[in-house]
Amino acid sequence: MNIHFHPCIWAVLAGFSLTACYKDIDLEKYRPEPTLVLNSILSPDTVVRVQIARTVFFTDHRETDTNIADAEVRMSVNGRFVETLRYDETGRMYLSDYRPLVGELISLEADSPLGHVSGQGIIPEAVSIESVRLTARIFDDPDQMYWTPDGVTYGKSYEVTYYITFTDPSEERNFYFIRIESGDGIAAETIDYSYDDVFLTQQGVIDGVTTDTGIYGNEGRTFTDDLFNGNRYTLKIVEKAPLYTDDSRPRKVILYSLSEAYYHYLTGIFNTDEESVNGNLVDFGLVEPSPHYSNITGGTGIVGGVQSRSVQVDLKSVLK
Amino acid sequence: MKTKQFLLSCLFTFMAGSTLYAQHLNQTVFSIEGMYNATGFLELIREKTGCRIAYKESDLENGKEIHLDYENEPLDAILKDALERYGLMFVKRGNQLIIKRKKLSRYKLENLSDSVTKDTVRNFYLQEVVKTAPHIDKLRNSQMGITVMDYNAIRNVPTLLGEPDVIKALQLQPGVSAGTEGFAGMFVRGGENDENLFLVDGCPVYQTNHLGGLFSPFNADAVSHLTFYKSTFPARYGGRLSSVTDLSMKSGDYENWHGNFTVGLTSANVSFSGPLVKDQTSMFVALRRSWLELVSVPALAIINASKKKSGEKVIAGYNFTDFNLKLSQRLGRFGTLSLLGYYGHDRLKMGEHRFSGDGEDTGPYFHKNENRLGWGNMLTSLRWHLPINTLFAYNMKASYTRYQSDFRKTVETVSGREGENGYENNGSRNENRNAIHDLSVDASLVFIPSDRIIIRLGTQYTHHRYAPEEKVRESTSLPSENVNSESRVIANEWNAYLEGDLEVFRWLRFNAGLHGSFFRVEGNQYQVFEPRISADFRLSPVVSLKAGYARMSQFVQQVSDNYISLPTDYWLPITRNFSPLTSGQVSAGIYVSPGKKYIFSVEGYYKKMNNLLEYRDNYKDLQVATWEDRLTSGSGRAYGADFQAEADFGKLHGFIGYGLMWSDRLFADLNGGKRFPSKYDNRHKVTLSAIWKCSERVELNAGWVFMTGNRVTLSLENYSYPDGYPTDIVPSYPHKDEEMLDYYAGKNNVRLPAYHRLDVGINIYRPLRRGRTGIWNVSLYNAYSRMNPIMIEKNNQKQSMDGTPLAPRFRQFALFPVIPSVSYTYKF
Repeated sequence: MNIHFHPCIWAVLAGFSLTACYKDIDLEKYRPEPTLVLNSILSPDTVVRVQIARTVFFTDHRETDTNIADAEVRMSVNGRFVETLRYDETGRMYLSDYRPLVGELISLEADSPLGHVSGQGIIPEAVSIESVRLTARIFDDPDQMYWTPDGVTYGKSYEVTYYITFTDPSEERNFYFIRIESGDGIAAETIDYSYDDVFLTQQGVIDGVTTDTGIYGNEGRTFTDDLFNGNRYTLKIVEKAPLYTDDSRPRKVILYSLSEAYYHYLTGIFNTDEESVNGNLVDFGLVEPSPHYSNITGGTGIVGGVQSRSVQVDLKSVLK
Repeated sequence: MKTKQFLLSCLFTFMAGSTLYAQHLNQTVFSIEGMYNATGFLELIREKTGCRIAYKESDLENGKEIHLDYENEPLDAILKDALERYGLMFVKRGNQLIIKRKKLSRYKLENLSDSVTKDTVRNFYLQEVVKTAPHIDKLRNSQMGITVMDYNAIRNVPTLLGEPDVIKALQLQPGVSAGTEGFAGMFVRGGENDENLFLVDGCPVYQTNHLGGLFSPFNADAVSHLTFYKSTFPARYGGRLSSVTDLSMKSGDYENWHGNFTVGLTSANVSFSGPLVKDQTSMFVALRRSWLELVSVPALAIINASKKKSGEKVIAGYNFTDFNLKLSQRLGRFGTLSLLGYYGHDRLKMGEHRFSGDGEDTGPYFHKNENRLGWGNMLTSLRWHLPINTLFAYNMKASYTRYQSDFRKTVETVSGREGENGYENNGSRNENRNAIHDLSVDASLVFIPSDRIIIRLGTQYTHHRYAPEEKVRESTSLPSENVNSESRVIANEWNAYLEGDLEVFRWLRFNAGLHGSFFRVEGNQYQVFEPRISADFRLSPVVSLKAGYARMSQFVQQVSDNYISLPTDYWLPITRNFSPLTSGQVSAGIYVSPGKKYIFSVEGYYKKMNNLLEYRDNYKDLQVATWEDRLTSGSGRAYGADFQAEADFGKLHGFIGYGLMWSDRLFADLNGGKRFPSKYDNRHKVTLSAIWKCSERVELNAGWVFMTGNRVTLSLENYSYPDGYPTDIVPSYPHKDEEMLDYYAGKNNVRLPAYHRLDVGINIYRPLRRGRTGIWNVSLYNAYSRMNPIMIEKNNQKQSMDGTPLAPRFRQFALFPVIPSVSYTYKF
């Protein structure tokens, strides 16, 4: 068991009588007028789709349908008006017939009784994964202690290291997202990014002040090409999990190329570890929270561009 | 004229010399009429003459009040007659009076040293050589908003974990917001935490806390007294916008050795004071250190022993240390030479090792990830105080101050056997450092031509070497990206001031001055002229009307996005991209003192702050080129009123304070460019405090604070993440318990519930053999366990432990219940 910073904060701050207290509080007097939301992720693999919605007061968010079906949504390409999008009841989105191309500037704007919003985005070039190499180590894990008639025994866990090689296309600044999925499309086991300088340099100084030095994020993490601009690079990521069987463990490694706005948007969502020191300080109300990035004028949301490439592997090849 | 020549010429001018400043005691006449005890009479004499008076409190205790009536009598005659009636006698030595009970022979009296003995002895000195708290007559003083606290006043404030804390004692003042509960934040009249100047015997200190503010960096046992300014500032102070805390550290005893040893819940400290050469050279030294490692080190050893089989080792540890030193050497007619040293440091290490354990199915493996954080201050100064003659005194000081915060991360991985397939050996080291080195010299002159005029002038030159963000990155896997960037900023600062305190008429006294600040950095020069004026209009013997204006400037700032003081909050100097911070504050008030035991005051103020710096939104994600790119500039304002009532009945001291305040900010790049309330916009603050010495051995103290809640930035709404896309276009939303994103409509948009807390404490004095004393202190922080919320969370839990469905709700979170503490002090 590692000593995490999270319980250390509790131990220091709570003093002798560790009876920190939660209590419900009514904030109805602060209820604001809703704000318009525009979301659209542009990809050459699909037509342009736009979601128009509104913000909802937190206590209502489970019951309230925030989708707006009566907005007028217009799309322009490279400054030229193309079409007014139609609302699709099934998908609850506004659809066009247009598939965007790499480098095109797609502008979207919407009008509704709540106001006017707009945003624009560009699709970046795709970057292919050249190779994925795997290494593994297996060890006795004290967190998996079993009682048997012969006494205490420990289960085994594994650490698989992914070496993901690709080439950064140009000297322009490029933005990426890396994700490792299991065979059924769900994020893989515990993913630790702390073995690669690309992710270590993202870590704030305060987040290094902990005994658990991992940088975690099973759903993926963003990064830029600042350390390998225009060059071939091998990303090093470690997966950790219990080793119960010798069964097949298929994995899909996906490398996303992002527009800059989409990169900032995903960074604020995926690179924030609630178990990190900074995350704990935010939870305790000791750090000013940051609003999520938005490139929408008149409201909030995101218009982003993306392309992705993937490689399939199986961990069985390195796990015995 | 070149800067160097100009500076030298100023210094030589001041070094031309003059004579000791104080009144010729024989040359003036006075009128005194009223009821006074001995202490009050001597206090009056000191105020009227400015002379130094030395006496033992025990000689003046239980003195009866006597009616005195002298009109235009020479001082000698007044002293002889009045003191005889009090059963006292006096000896003049130059500008100094030594007072003693009549039973001593004159020989012994004349050979009394004027040094400080134990802290039960009180001596009045000129402010430059004050060894105990000077008495400030708030009614007659032209300054406003001054608070003086001595060592006992600091110690008697109950605090979290029982550690006496200078800053937490000041947090009780009206107009001072404490920030987050339990931490040593100080937000004075709408200002920020880094806008407070802390001087240790005249030398500035940058880092003013240990462990995020849980503990004070100032060992209370080493503090003689402090003077706190929040309203009008004498011209001799500058460099920060909102407040000045001038700490006088204890000096050594020239006659006898004595000391303290205190052990509390989290730290222990020891101090010694005594003569190295009797009547010539004295020393005071104090050392304080946390002792948490006595518990954590063996606990960690046990944990690591159990984890060794699985190939894990935990690295953890924290400690803090304070060290104070003061050496004083009397030079006879050449005054006093003092050497001051202060060192305060925190060390934190965290990390883990992973290595091949038993049962590994692969080859050798070792992975190390260690983080070390160290931060603190170090300062040293050499000071010469020269009483030149009865009119002049001169001070000169050379000092070095260093602040440093250093974070180092080391990662290393060795896997497999060298020469074999799959062997890996790489590592990286990242280091971030923020540092300030200040070298300074200053000189000042005090001139008192009469009891109605005090003139001060001085100059200071400081060479600053800032390292806002030094980075070192070394990596064996990416050697081409190794970085060793030294972001050094060199600056030269020169300050000069002229200050006069004049009693123009009996009903009008004012303090006026000009503080000039010149700051040269990166080829740019900034100059700020800071007029200071405050006036006292005596409407009657018991009522004064006061008014004042002060302009302040600041050339360095500690920008922070958190509510506690972290060592990772870097001190950043003004550069060509940002103008100096400035403030202007207007104050006016009424002071009423119907008797010597009471004083009431009401003071209104308006303060405007310009060129404040804050982090931009999402600055951590912006990956911008330099630290300057993360910042944005704006303004702030604060206005309100402070009410204070103090009473002193001898054994019972009491204080009531009420503060009313509005405080807000305006930044073009924050909050959509709209004005927003500052985080510590505490509309109302009430403080009640009492100390009761119920017997010779028992002292009780209590304090109650009520405050309108702090403001927080809270997401009241949610909005949707892009939906309906395959995961190779939009990765699935990572936070499974929350279906939607948090939307923040504005900064500091919600106010927490009101805060209130009662603290009580008791000091029990136990006389021991040979004049030694043991003191037990037991205190209760938050005695009625009011759970004051520090933040509000959004709780989306769908059902309780028993399966009852739950709706989304807001919940407030509180941290500190009642916390008892105990400490023991041994005085010898």
